Amino acid sequence: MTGQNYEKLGFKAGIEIHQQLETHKLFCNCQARITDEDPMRLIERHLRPVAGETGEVDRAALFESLKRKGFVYHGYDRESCLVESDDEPPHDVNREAFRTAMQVIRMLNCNVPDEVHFMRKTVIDGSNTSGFQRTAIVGMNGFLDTSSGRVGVTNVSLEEEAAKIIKREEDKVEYGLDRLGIPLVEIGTAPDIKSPAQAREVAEKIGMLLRATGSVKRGIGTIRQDVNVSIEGGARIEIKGMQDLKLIQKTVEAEVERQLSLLKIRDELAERQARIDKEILDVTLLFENTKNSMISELLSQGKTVFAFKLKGFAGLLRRNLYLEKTFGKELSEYAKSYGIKGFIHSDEDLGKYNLTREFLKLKKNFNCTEKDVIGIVSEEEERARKACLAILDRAEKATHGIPEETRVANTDLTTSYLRPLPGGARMYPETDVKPISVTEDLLKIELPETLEERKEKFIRLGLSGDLARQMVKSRYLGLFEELAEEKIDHARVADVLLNTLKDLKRKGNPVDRIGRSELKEVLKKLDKIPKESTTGVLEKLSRGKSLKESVDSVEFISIEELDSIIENELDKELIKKEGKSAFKKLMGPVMARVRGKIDGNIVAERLRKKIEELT
Amino acid sequence: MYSKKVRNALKRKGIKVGDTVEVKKDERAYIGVLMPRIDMGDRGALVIKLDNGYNVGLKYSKGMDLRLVSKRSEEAKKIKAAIGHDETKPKISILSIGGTISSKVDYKTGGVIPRFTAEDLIEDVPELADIANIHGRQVDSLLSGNMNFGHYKKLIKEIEKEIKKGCEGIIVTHGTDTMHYTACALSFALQDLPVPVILVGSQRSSDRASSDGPFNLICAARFIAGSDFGEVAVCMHATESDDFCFIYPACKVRKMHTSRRDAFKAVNSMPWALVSPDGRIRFFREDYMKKDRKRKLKAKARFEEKVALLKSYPNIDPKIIDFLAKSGYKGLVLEGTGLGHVPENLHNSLKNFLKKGLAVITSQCLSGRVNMNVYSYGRELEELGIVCGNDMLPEAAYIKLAWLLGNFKGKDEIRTKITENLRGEINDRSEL
Repeated sequence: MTGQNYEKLGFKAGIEIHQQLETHKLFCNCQARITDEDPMRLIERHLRPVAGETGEVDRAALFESLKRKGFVYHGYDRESCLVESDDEPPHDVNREAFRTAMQVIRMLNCNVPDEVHFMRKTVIDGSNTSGFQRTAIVGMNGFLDTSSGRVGVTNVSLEEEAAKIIKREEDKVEYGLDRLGIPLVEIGTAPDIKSPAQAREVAEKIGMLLRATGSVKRGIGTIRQDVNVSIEGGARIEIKGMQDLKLIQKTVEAEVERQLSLLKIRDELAERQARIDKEILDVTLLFENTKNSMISELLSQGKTVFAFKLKGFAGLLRRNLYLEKTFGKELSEYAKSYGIKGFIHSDEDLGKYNLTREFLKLKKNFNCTEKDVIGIVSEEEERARKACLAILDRAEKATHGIPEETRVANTDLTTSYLRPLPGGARMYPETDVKPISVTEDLLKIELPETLEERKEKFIRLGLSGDLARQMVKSRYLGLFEELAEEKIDHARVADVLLNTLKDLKRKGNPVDRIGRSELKEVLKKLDKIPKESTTGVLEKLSRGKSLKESVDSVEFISIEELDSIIENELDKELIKKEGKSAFKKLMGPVMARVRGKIDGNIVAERLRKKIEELT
Repeated sequence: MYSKKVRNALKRKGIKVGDTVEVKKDERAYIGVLMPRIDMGDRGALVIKLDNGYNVGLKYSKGMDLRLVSKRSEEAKKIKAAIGHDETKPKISILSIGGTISSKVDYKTGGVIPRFTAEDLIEDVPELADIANIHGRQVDSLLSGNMNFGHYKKLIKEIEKEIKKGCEGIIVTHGTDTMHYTACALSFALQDLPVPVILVGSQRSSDRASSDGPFNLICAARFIAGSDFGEVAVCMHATESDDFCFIYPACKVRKMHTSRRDAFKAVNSMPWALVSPDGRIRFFREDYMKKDRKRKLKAKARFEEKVALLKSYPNIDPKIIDFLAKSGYKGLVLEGTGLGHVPENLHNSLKNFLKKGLAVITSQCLSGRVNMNVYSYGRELEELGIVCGNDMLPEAAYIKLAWLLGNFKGKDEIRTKITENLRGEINDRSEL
């Protein structure tokens, strides 16, 4: 919602950015990359709550939940070793990653502790094989200037990335060890951000600054932004999983709208004297002869139907909170962890569900008035009961205000409930890793040029302003800079990196498989490859051909040479006889002479043109 | 520990570890709890735990602005729930010797605190209460690398006591480094054992949710409660997964990896059985001594101190053996190469050693059996009077020789006993 006066709303936000670094893993020498290979081995583990576990989670319940949960880890040849499988202590910290972190903290004007201590941060969702994440504060109390004021940087940490989820089942989660241990820099700002637009600016600025180091990974999933948002009277909400900067502003705006709508609902509920009795009834019998095919199917599977009442909620569940999301939809998200897809309630069109008759009876059973809502859930008994309780619990909270929670961003700008806000993380020293003294030399690390400075440099190398601007944002920035000293046509190199590769990728060529060193070699030799053959060469490389096969052993020909070859092969009689369809017969002999020396598309184009001239 | 300079400064200001302090540095104030200094790193840097849980190191310098904010608050002592007794369940005694498995991290300070009472054990591993009535006691608190024959003696005495009090079996929680030596020593020392003694360790520290210790402990208790096995054995992870444990023969087991969960392997033997934490047990071999609570334990806990274990290697200096002879060593186990060979330049020194002492040859190949007949230098060694260690592991031969020398007098009797299978340390068949 634009046009809000965010200052008046008491808007406050802070951002947390996690950025993967382009180097090997943080505590071992495994390659830090996501693989699509099949796992080399599978390891099955369980986690247990450990002694001294405190906090609000009931220890016995935690025990039970973990007991039932198995974790299967996929181990890969080059991307995981015994360190990732928690079968070997961590090696020394990756100095390259540490240096990059030092650059980042200096660019963000942070204080540095004299000695950096790695900690074990307890994580028991299985995403860390050890049961903890290794993390250290490397900088504190920094700041970043934006167009609407200074934003504090609370701390910068260097930490391990978690394993990636491959499959989630009710009693089993499968994780890939390839992502576990990739170095991450985490930057947390103070809640100084005063508008959704500023949130976006901060994320953008930090992103640029990280890219300026030339040592960060690029591509989907390599940077993640979490935003903490609150408004006056609302609640602190942590929104996770916004992978696209453009979505930040709009998602945050939508969140503000959600909070405003929920506050309005709270006030209305107070006026209506709405109340939640946590009474849940097993009403399975009532549905024995139901005409609703979904419920009758569930009942035939032995599932039950449970019903509950939301006193004074009538009409509210169908109200849009924000965008296209209703309050009813919002409530149902809290029951999702019990395996139900949603719940049916009397604020919906019951005729559509063939449930009018049943709901009439239910209203009677619950002594409902027109102001109340009835909801039903159909599932296996225990789960149905828990799902109802979760919905009732959330509805009750709506009468008080907005619960603090962690939500996950969806691509349609809405967010979904994920879990309650985590309490203070439990951390204790990682005694297997030596504390690192931050020496003067480390602090004297050269700072990278800013992207603005580099853009100017690229223009001096012959790039157009537009190309230079694209290049500083490109994932190939580092590679391009390595070629800056070479005596080559830099504008053409930039064009290949920014346009040719993109085109090839769009046509389905796996260009990401071209090795960095191969790509660099090709770019160095670019002056020996005719412009029209570049695409062909890169295509071959992406299809697994060696550098030699793709470039070195090939003699390239120019368009002029091609034209003269076509001239030689032309059978004018044939063209006279068959007209344009002579193309099919002529393409073969021409290609036989030029294959590998020039792009086939160009050959076809020139040949067609020639035939057209003659017909 | 902090450097002397820091300790003095803290003392002057009345600050102790655990107190909340404020440190000013670079015009910034850091407020947090003063942590104990971990052994690694700069001992002159204060370790402060900030509000967000992170520790940072701040170098102490004279005249630094450091002040006490508040003293450590005394926490109410947790009252532990009494453990009920279930008549239908067997009694299992858990004796703690030390190692990773017997300690926990104090999450506030990062220090290590021992956990060994029955209450501690049940709190950490509540599944144990479903299996048995657990009694727990600490015997020692050792890194297993520091264990010696004196500790064996003490442990054996405690096991005797527990057996006298009556129980269905004993679990010894032990550091993993030398667990196979201890298992072997107990196996020799505890003659006519009425109930099983199972050694359990953990390869990954117990502060982590992924520790293998509780799993191994549960499997050991399941095995004691659910089988008629009556020997000394080691119970550890069978694979890298948390799927089941193997029960390893005390004298045929060895730590074969520095850090993996499945570091322990049976060498020249099959494991006795596999156990899963839900109580399923499958035996691979049936030739074990059955449990019999009426059998009378005879403990022979003496081990001869003057026994050495020496690995042969190219260019080895015979003076090492001369030194052992001169220092009054009575026994020597050689870890020979291949089928059981040592360089010929050791022969004279060995001959001299054997005038008074006994020597056994084993193989550093570990897997397989020594044979003194295949090559001439094997035959020469035998002629010198070296005893053939057969398929004994070098560590088992070492413990066996020390035990024989500690409990028997005649050299000939001992020599004969070395070549006899007493506790499963020698197999006369090498299985396919």
